[in-house]
Amino acid sequence: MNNETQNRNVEESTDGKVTERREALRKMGKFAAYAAPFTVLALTNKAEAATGHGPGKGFNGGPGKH
Amino acid sequence: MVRGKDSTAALENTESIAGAVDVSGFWQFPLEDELVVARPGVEGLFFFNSTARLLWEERRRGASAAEAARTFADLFGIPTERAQRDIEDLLAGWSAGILAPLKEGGTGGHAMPPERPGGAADAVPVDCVVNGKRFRVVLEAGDLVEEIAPRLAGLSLAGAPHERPDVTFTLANGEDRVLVFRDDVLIASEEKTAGARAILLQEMTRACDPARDVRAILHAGACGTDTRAVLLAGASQAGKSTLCAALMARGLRCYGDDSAVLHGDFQVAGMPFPLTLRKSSWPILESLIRREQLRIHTRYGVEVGYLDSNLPAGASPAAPVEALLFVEYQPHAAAVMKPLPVFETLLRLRGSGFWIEHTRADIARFLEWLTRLPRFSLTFSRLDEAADAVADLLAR
Repeated sequence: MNNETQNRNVEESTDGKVTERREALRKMGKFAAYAAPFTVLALTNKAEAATGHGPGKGFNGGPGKH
Repeated sequence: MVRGKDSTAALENTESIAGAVDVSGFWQFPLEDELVVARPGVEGLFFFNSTARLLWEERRRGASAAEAARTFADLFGIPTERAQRDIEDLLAGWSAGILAPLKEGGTGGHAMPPERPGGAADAVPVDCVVNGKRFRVVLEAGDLVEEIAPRLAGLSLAGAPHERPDVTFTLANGEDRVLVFRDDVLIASEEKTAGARAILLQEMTRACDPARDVRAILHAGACGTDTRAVLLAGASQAGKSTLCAALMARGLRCYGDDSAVLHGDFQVAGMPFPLTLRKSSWPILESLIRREQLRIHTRYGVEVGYLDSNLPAGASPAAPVEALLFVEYQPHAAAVMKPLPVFETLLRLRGSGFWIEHTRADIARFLEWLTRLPRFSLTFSRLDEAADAVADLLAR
């Protein structure tokens, strides 16, 4: 399967699953478990893929230029 | 934030916050119950948990915020007011985030690329050989030498310098950033010295095997045999390098201790640079690594030990990845390994640091690979137990 076909199928399956998922939740019985909705952005960065950006950045990151 | 006594009226007002979701310019990648969305022009991935995905899909099909709140209440048995509040918050977040107009001029960079600095009198050239390729790395004196020269020491030439290196990298301090040049081309400008070091080592690895495209880079160590490897991911100071050193003492290869470059069909590329071991890990490794095996340098006023790589010299080693482990050293903890769902894995990667080529095809390939890959968390206090867990994974 080439990449274009693969990607198109991914998108099509998203659409196809919308109704299915809502219906699946309904069919689960009384109620599905609820978790508050959230969306987070994961920035992608080559330097941080080696030095991290959490605790310890000060040590791993070394001196900044600012 | 719009909040009113009449919940329906309040929700109708949120229509102006986000409007109907037009996703024509987005790339969407469904996971099991969750969703990953990317936007051209935003170097990153948006992760949606299952209810955020449901709201996204409801909005895509044209549901109003009020209708979505009723759907939430109906499906999950929660009060409409709570659904309304959660939906309002998320729509406001989308409005400021994923649905916000892109800034003109892309994601940054230099309007006028600075020129490569000439041969400054105090620049330090380091000639080295990595996987058979001849490199010259020219470092501006000061922090850059302190940060990078010990990483190249085991690979540098003792005798005459290269007459003609295959590739020359030059690193110098710009006005407010560290600049990295490959030959005469600026390839990165980094906020921190260590970021420039990371780019340099990744680019040297890439240059050794230019036929293979780099697919992704994870903030992870990698250890294994000649034919298979396990990635050891985690935040800074999670114990990645210490565990890599312990695995080296068992005779396993270390493909890298802080940056896993995944190329081709997501094989991990060997980075034959020394491991960096903080002083706090030396006593933990005392029975496994002799002190004289470490080259001790002072970096930013702190002693650091460098342990030379045990990758074979010459070729460009690479190994298929058998599993991804998020490791975490916790004093007094028994070694516990737990499987990680793919969405939880992505959230952890967000916390530790990663990079993917930002094209729709590359993101799809990465997620497909990650979904297939066995994924675990591993907490430990005893290195031998953690090393046993890694060895078990490699023996499967």
